[in-house]
Amino acid sequence: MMQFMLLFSRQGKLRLQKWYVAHPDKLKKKITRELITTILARKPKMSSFLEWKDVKVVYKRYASLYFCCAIEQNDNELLTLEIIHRYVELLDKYFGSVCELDIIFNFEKAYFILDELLVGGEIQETSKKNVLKAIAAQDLLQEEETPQGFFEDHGLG
Amino acid sequence: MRQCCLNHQVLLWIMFLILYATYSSADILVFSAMARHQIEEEFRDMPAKFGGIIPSEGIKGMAVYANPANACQEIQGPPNNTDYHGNWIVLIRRYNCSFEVKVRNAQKAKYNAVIVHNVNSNELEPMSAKDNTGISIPAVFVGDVTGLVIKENYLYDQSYFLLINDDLPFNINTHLLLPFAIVVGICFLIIVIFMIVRCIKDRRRQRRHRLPNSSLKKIPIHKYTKGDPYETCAICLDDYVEGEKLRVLPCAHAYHSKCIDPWLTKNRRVCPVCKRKVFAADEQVVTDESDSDADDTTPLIRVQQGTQGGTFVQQRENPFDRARRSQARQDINNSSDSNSDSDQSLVTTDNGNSTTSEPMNVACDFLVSDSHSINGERQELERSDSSTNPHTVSLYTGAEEFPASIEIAQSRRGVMTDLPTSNSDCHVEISDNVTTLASNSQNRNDVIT
Ligand SMILES: [Zn+2]
Ligand SMILES: [Zn+2]
Repeated sequence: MMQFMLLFSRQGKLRLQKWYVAHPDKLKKKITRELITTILARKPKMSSFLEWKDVKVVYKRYASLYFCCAIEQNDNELLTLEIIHRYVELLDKYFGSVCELDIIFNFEKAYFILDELLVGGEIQETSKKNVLKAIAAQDLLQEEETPQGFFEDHGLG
Repeated sequence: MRQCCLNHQVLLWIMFLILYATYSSADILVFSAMARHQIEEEFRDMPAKFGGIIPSEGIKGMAVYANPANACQEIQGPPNNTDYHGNWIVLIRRYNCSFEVKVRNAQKAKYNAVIVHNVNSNELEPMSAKDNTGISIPAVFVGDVTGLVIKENYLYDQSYFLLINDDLPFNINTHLLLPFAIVVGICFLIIVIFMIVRCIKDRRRQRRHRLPNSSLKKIPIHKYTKGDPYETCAICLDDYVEGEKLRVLPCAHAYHSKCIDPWLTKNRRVCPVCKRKVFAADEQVVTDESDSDADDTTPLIRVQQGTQGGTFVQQRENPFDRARRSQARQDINNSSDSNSDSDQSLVTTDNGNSTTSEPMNVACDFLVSDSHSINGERQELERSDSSTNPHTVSLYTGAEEFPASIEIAQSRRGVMTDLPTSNSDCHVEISDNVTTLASNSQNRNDVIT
């Protein structure tokens, strides 16, 4: 089971985090900080897998963003790498040539997509098509709920 | 890091030069009688431990070689056949008697200063005397070569002055200007080298950031017509006019071709509005570039590279489909009554979703389940509700019943709308067929049984 997933930039800024195990906030912060420094210090040619404390960490860099997952000892690293890539592909399909800025400004969508893909730290839907369909349906619902001209009325449009 | 080392080396060199300039100071300076302020030559000397002190401005005078040279007896006084009334300096050879005797003899002959030169050695030794009472003139010690040079070149009859001084005179020419010039020169050199390196680096980087002309040609040009979604060129702020050439970048931003082309080829290959990098459709992206300057607008996945991170190689098509098709083709080849119609059916219905409608003219059994997932894509299969054995679908159709087999495919999609798990593409596309569901299923049942 995946324990948590972190997305952070090359500058060490946390962009996304998803925890599938319960930890106090303080510990989460500590883990995040330590893991980010550990991974950022690694050279590009080094392995994507590392044993870190009592978990296995699988990370991969996509352009300016690091995708990092912590899994249990008996989990498969390659499978995790594949999940990461599937998630990136999903983001790419949804945003269209996704970049870090897309994730910064539409982080909720990134979370939605992740929730469609993973539930409780296990892969839930392997079909990209189905995930995107679910997200599209969600978007449609959201659009209907937001009354047209709502923002304009309040001077926000 | 290397730059730092270089700087250290340069600093050391400069310090060394300054030290060298300070220590190689000459204490006997030779002036020409014609050009009074130009130093002809400099010699090192060692002041004696006895005798008068050399005044701070030095003793300037004309040199005379002692006669006799060792000055152990009384020596000849300064020449009086000249109209010179300044100081006289006597040059005396070492040995034969003590320095004290030599200096006393020189003082007795009314010389103002003494230079004792070594013999067969250039070593400078401090001269000392047992009793220095009454000695008022200063004395210095020089090496063999120095003595010889002065004797040969710089005596009074060649009209040269000697200046003996204790301390280094402030000679701007040799002691400030030269080291200063050297330091400035070195600094200048370093700056020049640094700039050249920077320039080359910048050039290289710029070239890498620019869009090559070959790639520019691959970016589509669009003739503007009324109703296009583009309005104003963000560069020249002109509204587009009918028939103008617009360059549409991959980010869907459009500009005048004449406005954007110089920007891309001479400046940077980014869209001026959204800062996305511009790549031609088939351009290979250098991977190490993304390592160095990936910023938050760099796409996470390059479009050109299908999978860059996954562990699986992307399949062009479902391998089961491929296997099935080749199987079907084999069957068709084997059957003697195969014709163009069956081939047609293969093309029209083979869209990766259908397993039942392919080989139309042969009897075949399929083991099917409600749905399965191959390579991540959910495959919806027919639920055969009329058959007693729901997982076996048997088809006995002839070539002449081909139109009916098309309806099978459609009705299958129609049925799927009833299934709670169905949400594949077919559902969306063919949903208008639902109205004909009843008749279609009727049809289908006819065919299947
Ligand atoms: Zn323009
Ligand atoms: Zn753009």
